[in-house]
Amino acid sequence: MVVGKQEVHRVKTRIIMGRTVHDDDLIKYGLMAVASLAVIIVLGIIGFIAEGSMTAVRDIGLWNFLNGDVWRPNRELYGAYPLIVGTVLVTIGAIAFALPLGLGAAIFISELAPKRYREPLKLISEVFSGIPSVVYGFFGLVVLVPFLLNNVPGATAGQSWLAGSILLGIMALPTIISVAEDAISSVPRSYREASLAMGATRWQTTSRVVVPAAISGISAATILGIGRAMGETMAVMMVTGNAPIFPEPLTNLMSPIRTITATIAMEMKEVAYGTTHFSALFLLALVLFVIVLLVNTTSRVIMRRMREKFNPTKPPKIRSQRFMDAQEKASRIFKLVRYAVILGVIWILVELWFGADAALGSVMVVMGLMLVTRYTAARWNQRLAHGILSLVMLVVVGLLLVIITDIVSNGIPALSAEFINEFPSQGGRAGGIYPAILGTLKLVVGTIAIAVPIGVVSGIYLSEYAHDTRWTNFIRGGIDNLAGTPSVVFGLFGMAAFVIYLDFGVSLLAGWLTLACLILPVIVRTTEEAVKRVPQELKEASLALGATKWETITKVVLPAAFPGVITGTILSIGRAAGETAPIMFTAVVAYQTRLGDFSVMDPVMALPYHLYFLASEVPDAYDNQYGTALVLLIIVLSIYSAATFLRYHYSKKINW
Amino acid sequence: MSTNLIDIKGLNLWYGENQALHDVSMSVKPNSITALIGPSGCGKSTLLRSINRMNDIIAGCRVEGEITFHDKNILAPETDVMALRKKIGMIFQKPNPFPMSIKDNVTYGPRLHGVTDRESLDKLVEECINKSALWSEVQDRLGASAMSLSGGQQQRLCIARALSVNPEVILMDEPTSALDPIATNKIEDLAQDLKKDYTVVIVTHNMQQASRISDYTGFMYMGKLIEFDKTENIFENPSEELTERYITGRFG
Ligand SMILES: Nc1ncnc2c1ncn2[C@@H]1O[C@H](COP(=O)(O)OP(=O)(O)OP(=O)(O)O)[C@@H](O)[C@H]1O
Ligand SMILES: [Mg+2]
Repeated sequence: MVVGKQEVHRVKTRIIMGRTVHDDDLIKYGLMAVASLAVIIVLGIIGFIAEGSMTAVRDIGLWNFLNGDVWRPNRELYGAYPLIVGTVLVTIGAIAFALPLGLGAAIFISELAPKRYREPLKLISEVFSGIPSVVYGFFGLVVLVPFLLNNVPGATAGQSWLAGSILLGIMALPTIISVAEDAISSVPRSYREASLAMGATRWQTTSRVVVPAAISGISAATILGIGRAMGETMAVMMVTGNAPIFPEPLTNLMSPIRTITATIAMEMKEVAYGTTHFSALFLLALVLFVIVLLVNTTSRVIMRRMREKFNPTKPPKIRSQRFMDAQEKASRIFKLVRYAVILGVIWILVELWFGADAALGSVMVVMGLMLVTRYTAARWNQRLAHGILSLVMLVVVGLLLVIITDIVSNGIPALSAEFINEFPSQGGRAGGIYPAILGTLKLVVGTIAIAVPIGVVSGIYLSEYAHDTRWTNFIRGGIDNLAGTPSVVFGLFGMAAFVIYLDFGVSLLAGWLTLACLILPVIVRTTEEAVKRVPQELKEASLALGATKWETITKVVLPAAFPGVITGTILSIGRAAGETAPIMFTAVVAYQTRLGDFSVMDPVMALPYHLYFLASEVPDAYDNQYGTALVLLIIVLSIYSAATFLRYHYSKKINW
Repeated sequence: MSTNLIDIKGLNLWYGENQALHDVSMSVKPNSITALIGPSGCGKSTLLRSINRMNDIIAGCRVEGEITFHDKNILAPETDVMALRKKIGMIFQKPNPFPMSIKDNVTYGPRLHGVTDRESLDKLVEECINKSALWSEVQDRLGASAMSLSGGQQQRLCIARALSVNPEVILMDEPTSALDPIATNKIEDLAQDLKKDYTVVIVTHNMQQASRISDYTGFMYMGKLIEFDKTENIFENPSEELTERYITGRFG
């Protein structure tokens, strides 16, 4: 495309070390160097975490660590197995909760909802993703946990596997909804028409053609959701009870449980630097990092396959008959397994609430229904299915409403001018949250100042200069991995690299750098998207006028892509403002009653951490907890709405 | 009882504010091939899709008039649209097999309508693929993905798929426009064969095609059916000047 024109337009060159170098090449390598930062960060994360784990590997042994049944650091027992099991169980529960809801909502949005409701419904799911994890945790702690305690017969504690799974499930919903919705609505219209033209109902078309055709995208969505759930820290830590035990029996949903992330977050603050315990937490982070990496890579591979399927560049392989037969058999077995899982989940849930008889009864009813629908008229099945889908959508919207109204209605009484501009007193029970608001502001501003230039430059490089070379793919991979890395791992990395190694101490500066690493992928990706969407003709028009590539980028491409870049920036501000785990060991203190002179080497208070602190350490500070949660929610959600507004505003205005 | 299988009377159709069909009337005789020709955007597809009510799925589409099929008005609200579409199959411009195996493509329809017995499904697969003149090419790879077929093969698979639910009418919307000449020939031959058992309505841009295979031809222009007659009359002795100008290529 552009390559041919490059010889034509005016080429600026200069002599460096006796060789003629084109200005455009210089710029290109400069941009590439910046973009490579993502790779360096990933390598840095792996390096620092692995280095930190060495002591533990030596003292405990990798096998003993992974296989040990008991995690009790004060007795020098570092068995991570219960934590790994805990992580896996909470995640399974979360997906069992989120997949039916998320998939149902995705199908509703793309197949059932009238066109004008589609965007608002998608927006609702985006609001879910805007709520900070610590606010979910707080809601879980004060609403969900007591609810379970009072409503599940025989429950002795509300903090449990179930509470963690429900909460994580809610948090995984937006990922699943948006990716699955994307996959479903990108199934070519011609499939739907073909099916309808054969006399299929809409539901038959959805269930037999559209969803199967989108299945890889849906799997990718699920796996991404799994990745998110596994890496989640604050929310799980606040509601799972954190006992490092195996549920007894293994299906006991009301058993407390403890995850890898929660262990790191809880113990890192108290442990002495350089001990085996300290190192064991790094090893935990390494294990988590590897698991999440595998999960996310799987989902990426599946996504790529899906794109390939709809826009095939090469004809699909022709398989042997035997292979096809085996595949058919496998898919039949898979179907059975699916039904078994659905029935199993129903059984476990009903038994928990209403006992074994009711469980048996309801499983029979569901099986009966499955059987009967084979023979009832397709139109009735469609009604049933659409009814269920609408119900699911209602539940999703309802969940969001419940969370928001609870926090708003309980938080409003706490809000006052004093609450906003006074220091806390009585350990947070009284006074205001002024230093936390200010601290969050400081954190965000610095983070953005660091991350935006790097992110935007990387985004430009990736969209305008990067070809499919190995190094570029490396950079892309690095950014993808950064995006999927659990936030607590960033926290640990920040502590090891900035707090300890660079000796910044727990400080604003360490917090900035850590958060900057965290939000970098958001900015890179939105920039890349925005720049890519600038039409080729526009770029060529500028090049054809004799502008260099760099002039074209700065004078034509960037201004056109500006709204997209701003949107990405705003989104990342929201993210930075709401994160807790990454700043927990790098930048914050729990309590400040006065502020000294501004220094980047001093720690700050921050809203998310303050909320966590109040919720977990100061249980009677009810009003201030809700007040803090509301302020945080307002800040983060208004940031997100600004971004959304901007995006819609410009997407309407600019119609290439 | 009329001798026509389908009778269209005074059909008007709007997409939102835009009227796409103006007072169209025509009839389709059983076991014939009826071709619809006309310049792009004149409403051929729209008319065709009215016959199996595929326009229902387009938001803002409104129809007035009457289309009878076996003397029953299919535009009446109480029509069972699913049953209607089972009786009136459709082939699209771009081959659109499902991303499933060849076999599953053909069994999709029968399964929808309640056939589950494997033996009869297998028999049906062979029968339909045979009828669509594809059997010799795919018989030893029925389990392969339909996406691995060539465009022409895919289109014939789509025809087999349409035949699988035992329709009476097959609507074809420019079924060969995405195919090369050889594949086009095969589809044209196939259409001739199908006439024995089915009634075919075909939209085409290709006037040779219309004159080669059809018994009746309708010429449309700007949403109106300008002329409808036996094919030889339309091509040799059109009564409208517009038609003559179009078929002789002196248009616009
Ligand atoms: N889904 C739709 N929504 C709104 N208008 C439509 C829609 N489909 C078609 N139209 C309009 O209706 C008119 C007739 O379109 P139609 O597709 O029936 O034409 P056609 O004769 O099949 O053309 P072609 O030969 O290009 O396929 C056109 O003006 C078109 O813009
Ligand atoms: Mg058409």
